[in-house]
This record gives sequence, C-alpha cells and structure tokens, in this order.
Amino acid sequence: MIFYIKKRLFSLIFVLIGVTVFSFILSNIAPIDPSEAYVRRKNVSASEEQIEAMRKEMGFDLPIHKQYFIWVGNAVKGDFGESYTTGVPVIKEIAHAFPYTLKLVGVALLIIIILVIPISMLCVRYKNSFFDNFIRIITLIGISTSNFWLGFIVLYFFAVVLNVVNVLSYGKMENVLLPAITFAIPIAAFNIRVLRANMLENVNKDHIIYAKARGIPNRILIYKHVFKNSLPPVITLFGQTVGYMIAGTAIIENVFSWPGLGNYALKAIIDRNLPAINAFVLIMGVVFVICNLLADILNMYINPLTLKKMENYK
Amino acid sequence: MKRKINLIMIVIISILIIVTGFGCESSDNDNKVVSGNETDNSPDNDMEEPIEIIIGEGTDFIGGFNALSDNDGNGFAKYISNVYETLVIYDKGEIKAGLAESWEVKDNKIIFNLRKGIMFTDGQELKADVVKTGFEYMKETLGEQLAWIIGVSKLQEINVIDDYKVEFVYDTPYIGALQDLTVAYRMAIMSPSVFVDGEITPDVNTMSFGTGPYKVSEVKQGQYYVFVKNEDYWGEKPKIDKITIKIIPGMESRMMALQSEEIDLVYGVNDVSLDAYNQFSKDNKFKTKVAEDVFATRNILLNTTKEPFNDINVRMAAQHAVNKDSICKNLLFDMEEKADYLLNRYLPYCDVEVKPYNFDLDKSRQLLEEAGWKDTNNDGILEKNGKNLEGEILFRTGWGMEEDICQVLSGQLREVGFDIKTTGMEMMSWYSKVLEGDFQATVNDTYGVPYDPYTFLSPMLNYSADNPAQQGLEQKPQIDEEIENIFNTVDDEEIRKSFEYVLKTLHEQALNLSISYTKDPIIYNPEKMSDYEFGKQTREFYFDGIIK
Repeated sequence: MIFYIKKRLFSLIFVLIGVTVFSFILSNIAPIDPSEAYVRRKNVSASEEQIEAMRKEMGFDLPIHKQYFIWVGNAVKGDFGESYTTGVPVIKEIAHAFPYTLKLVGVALLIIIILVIPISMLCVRYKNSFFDNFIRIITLIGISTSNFWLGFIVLYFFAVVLNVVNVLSYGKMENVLLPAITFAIPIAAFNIRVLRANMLENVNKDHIIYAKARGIPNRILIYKHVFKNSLPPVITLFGQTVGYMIAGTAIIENVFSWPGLGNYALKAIIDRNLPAINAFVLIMGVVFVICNLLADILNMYINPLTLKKMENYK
Repeated sequence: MKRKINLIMIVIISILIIVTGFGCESSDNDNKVVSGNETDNSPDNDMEEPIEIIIGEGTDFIGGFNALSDNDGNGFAKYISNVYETLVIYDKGEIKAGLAESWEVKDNKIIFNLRKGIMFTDGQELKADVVKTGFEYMKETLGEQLAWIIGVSKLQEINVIDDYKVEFVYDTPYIGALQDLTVAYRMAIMSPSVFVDGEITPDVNTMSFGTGPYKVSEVKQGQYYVFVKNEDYWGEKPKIDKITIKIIPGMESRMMALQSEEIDLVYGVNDVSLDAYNQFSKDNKFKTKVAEDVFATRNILLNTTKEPFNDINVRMAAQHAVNKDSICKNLLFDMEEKADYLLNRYLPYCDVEVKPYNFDLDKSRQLLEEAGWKDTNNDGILEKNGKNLEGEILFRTGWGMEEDICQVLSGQLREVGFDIKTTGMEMMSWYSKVLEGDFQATVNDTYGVPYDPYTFLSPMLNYSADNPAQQGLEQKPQIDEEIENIFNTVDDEEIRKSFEYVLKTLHEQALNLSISYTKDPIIYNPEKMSDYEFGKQTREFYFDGIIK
C-alpha cells in the first residue's frame, strides 16, 4: 500500500504539470490580452504604447515557454504574483479566503453524511415503500435544483419572510447553516441515489442471501453486510465530490455573501485578475488530486482486495 | 473491516468538526481594524439618540481610503467627498469654492487662494505645499493612466506662491481645467502625512486623512466600513453620527438585505437594478427616488464607415424608427428620461439648437425608400442590390440594461425593415473591437458628470469608438480641429462656436442614437430616514443628504 501511495504521489507531479500547462495555455489563448485588460481597466482610452509598456513590465512580451517557466518557478515557491486589483500577494488573499470555504464545505459534508447514510439504508430496508418512493422523488427534485435558485429561495424565506437569519452572513459560524444546507441538498440527493442503488445491487448477492438464510435480522444485514460492501464506489465518488465542493462554492458564496474562495475566484474572473485565476486553478487541481488520492487510500484501507485488484489490473 | 469502517467514520466526522471549528476561529480573528481616528460614539450627555445609517454597497473598497489610488474599481470613490475635499467643487453645472475660497484664471495659469485654518483629521494644516505634493505625486504616478483627463495631461507644474496661494500651470489655456479638478477621486487633497518617502503610507487602508465632514472609524475589509463625524469640520457641521457601509456584491442579496432591514438604503445606478427599483416603488414599506440631474447619456453609435450606416438616410431612418418614450416607460420604468441630444443641454456649452429626431415611422420608411431600400420579397426586411438591410449592435455582456435596450432597439428597427442582430461581448473584447472600428453599431454611453462634456470629447481625436465611427464623415477633419480648439483656448465665444460646430455636426449626421439620460436612484427605509437630498454630483453619495 505504501508503494501504491508513493506511486500515486509521483504521478501527482505529472498531473500538476498538466494542470499548470493547461491553465497557462487557456489563459494565453483567451482573446483578452492581460496587459491590455490591466491597462484598460485603469484607463479606457489607453494608448497602444501604454499597453506595450505594460506588456513588457508584466513579462508578456517574452516567449510563452519562458513565461510559463517563470510562473511555475515562482508558483513552486508559493509566489503566485500580486493581485492586479489590490496589489496584495495572491497567496495571502487565498490563505485568507480558504478557511471560510473549508468551513462551508465542512458543514455541508457533515450534513451530507448525516442525510445520505441513514436515508439510503432506510430506503433499502423499506424498498418500494411509500418512504422509498417519496425519497426517490425528492432526490430527483434535489438533483435537478439549481444552487443559485435554491439559495435565493432559502435566503428569502428565512431572512426576509421569517426574519430568523441574516442575509449578510460574512463568514460567521452562526450563519453557516443556511448556505451549507443549500450547498448540501443537491449533492446529498445525488449520493442518496448512488448509495441506494449500490446497496440494492448488493442485496441480491449470494453472501447476503446466505446471511439471510442464517437468520440474521434485516437491520444488521443491511448495516453490516450490504452497506459496508457498497461503500467503495461511493467513497470514490465522494472523494471527487469533496474536490468539486471546494472548487465549486462560487455560486453559493455569492448568494450568501460568504467571503470564501469561490467568491474570490468569481471576482478574479470578472476583474480579469490573471494571477489570482491561475493560482485558483492550480490550487483546485491539487485539491482534486489529493481528494481522489485520499478516497483511493480509504478504499484500500477498508478493503485490501481493492489494492490487489489494482495491482493485478496493472 | 467493520472496525475499520467505524474508525474511518469517526475520523472523517472529527476532521469535519475540526475544519469547521478552525474556520470559525479564523473568522473571529479577521483583519478587523479600528482606526486611530475612532471617536467615542457613545450617546451624548443630552441623551439624544445618535443617528446611524447603514448603506448597502456592491463594490468593495479596494485601494483603501486613498484618493490617489490607481484602482478604478474602488467602491470608496462613491463616498470620497464625505472624507476628502477638492479645491473647487462641481455643483449642478457650476464651479464653486471648495478648499480654495477663490481663484484667478490667467491664460494657461490658475492661481488658487486656499482657505486658512483648515485642518486634516490627523492634525496637519492645509497649506499650499500640501496641494503641490499631492498633485505632483498624482502627476508622477497616475499621469499616464489619467492622461485621458485633459486637466491632467495638460498640467505642467504647480508652484507655491505663499502658504495659502498655489499656482497651476497648464501647457495651453484649457477651459475645462477647473471642472476636471472637481473629480474628487484623484483630485482631492490628502494630508501630507500620507506621503512617506515618496510613497503613500499603507495606513490609508485603515484610516482617512482628509478635511471632509466625516472620517473613517472602523474597517473590516470586504465586509463593512464605518464613518463617523469629523467634529472639527470647518464647514457646516455634519448631521449623521455614524454611517456603516456594508459590502454586498450580489444585487439580489443587496435587495434582500434591504427588505430584511439589515441595511437602510441602496444608492446609485450601479447598485439598484431597474427591476428592483420598480418593485420597491410599489412597496409601501420603502421609498424610492430618482435624482433630478442627469448623470450620463445612453447612446448607440452608428459607424459611418460600415454598411448600412455609411448612408446618412439610413442613419436618419434609424433615428426616426426608435420609440424612446416607450423604452423609457416600459423598459426603464421612467427612471430615466428620453434623450434627444448626445450631451444633455444643461452641460456647459451644450445648449446647441438642433432639431430632435422624433419618433416617426412614416418618415423613417420614406428615408429608407429614398436611399433605395425596398422589400422585394415581402419578408419584412428591406433589400438593395440583392443585399438585406442588416446590421449588428454590440453591447457589453452583463452591463446593466444594455442587452435589454439593444434587443428592444432591434425589435423597433425591424418595424421599418431593418434586420439588426444584437451581440454581447466580454468587456475587454468589446473595447478592442470598437477601438479598431470593427462594428456597425455599438453602445457608447457618455462618461457622465463631471467628465462630460470635455473629457467625453477629447478621446474623439484618438482612442475611442467615436473616432473610427466618424471617419466616414467628410466633416471629420473639421470636427477634430474644433475639438483641438476647445482644449487650447479660454475664449468663451470661440469655445462656444467650436462646441456648436461639433455637436451640431454630430447631430445632423445622425450617428449618435441617444436613448435616455441616466439618473441615480435611491431606495430607502422611511423608518430610518425621511428623505434624501441629491448632492452636487449625483454619482457621489453625500452622507449629509440624508434627512432624518
């Protein structure tokens, strides 16, 4: 297993190189010249000479591979450059916003776990009952609901109609519940359906039928045999979901005025703040890869057979 | 395996709890800064309840409380006049005394007599050398960036004559020099303490260094900013005890915060959507109001070098085909006023006699027929030499009402046989396209007061959408010459004549399809304040305009 982790960590380097190259190429093929954007943001009638001077100052006159290596060289040292809008080092701004996003995602994940596991188990236990059908419909609606819409409805109802929470949360712990619930609902709905389907698949397996024949009660059967055997694919999916959640908070954060990384990235995009955008893309690439790796390690830890399968496969 | 899963569940949940707890702690340790300017806000001894107002603002104060920030997107610019003051102020078309009690214009020089005994909130006194230091710093660091403001590009030197007399020397006489000096964001005077070793001290991120009626007392970057009275203010005593500006970037969230009474007012055309204004104006719990003074003109620019607008008859037909009253009433909810002129006639030198293009579909059709456009295949779109009467209007995506207005225009022009498509572009792509003249028609609003009219005209000579769009006019060399003349003389009659020529020619050549005059709106909670009196420049918000 240690060997596998080392191997994955090694391959992580290539993934990250891919992420940096990809994000760098994307920002360079964009029809917007960053130096022109920078100058024009300050002065709409800037002359070509001013833009050219800025291009030189920012190093955009260098060949693209040189620009890339300079950027990567600095990024490795944690230097993502200074924000075009504030002049503050990007890494400092990200370090300030990141804990807020972690807080939001953390609470949302707790809600997801609290919802997904018991509901999925109940659905399997009472398959095709009213409860199961009801949950199937609710989860279908949950998956189809847009965060943006749901956020405003929830905010309007609780903040304006009932007046029990504040519209302006500003990252305070007492205000995290509403954005976290809004964030968690579509993801929980999706995961309930996946876990339920996986568990139902396992219910018909030989060892479960044998266990039933042994007279093991249903609730023990579902928890100890069906649920735990259904976990690996869900954990893999969950790993990806965590990455997606950390990188995908922009809409929720915007609706709830949450000062996290999503809001920061959204603003960076609107402002064409390239150092911030590049840093965000790279950091999110790292987050995704690490979450996937952790999910795989978890799977191996739970079920060493997975590792064997992986080794045989390779 | 059972044990492992239980263990993992415990570990995951513990991590999540730690992570959320960590986030909680970090939020409490935020960069909340209480400025050295803070005063005791406890209620006065006479037990009068302090007047506190909370404003919702969409744009964060990036760049701090620095009047010379190189950041154009600083939300503070809207509130700057409460904290910093300029030598002269723009008051509804007139230049009035500010920190300078009088001034004298001699050809290319202006001598300002400063008020005596004016103190900055940090205890420094306003003197001529302070003005010189500020303007020289501005010229050195922002000169290139602000070169589009003629009053900056023409400013050559600042001389201290005595402690309270300062002379501004321009390279040629320039009539708009005083008006350009009224732009508080960049022209306001900051205390000499701000300039440390030729740089601006980072203290401006948390403190204000002005002479204005209010000063900064508390800062929480990205969240809120608190202003309190400057008790030593030299002018009329400020009325509001405490103003908190809360940063709420989302328009919908801002409106909900107003509804839930977390904020008391929202102000300005960028912070109040037309839909929200319309909705709140029907709600008895809130009051809505629009400034009487015009800020800028919404304008569509037709390119005289591109078909079909290279034909004056087609341009005039487009002018007559647009029902501006309907746009103002149905789309802009009467928040804006129909515009018949490119620059509204209350601006200096802009009261030029021209005949507005009235809404007249028959006239429009007749002009198109005279130009040889006919509907030969009965599809509703006119043709000429096998070509359809088609075109494209460019607008900036996500830029307020531009998209809606362009779509309505396209619909109205279709009535007379135009086939106009609307194309939204990212702002920077739009800029580069229009500056190259690669468009048939585009949105091209004026810059707004106090940049209008002078600073709106000057880019017509080089970097603007207007310059390439005017190239099809045989009068273009004369237009440029007259604009040059405006910026090189102080002879009133000469300037009037040049303005008349430029505005009359542009109007007669029908290349500017003006739609409406934008005005700044306010929505407020009448339980917190009874009224708001719009200030000298409607783009700025004046705390003392609030009437309790």
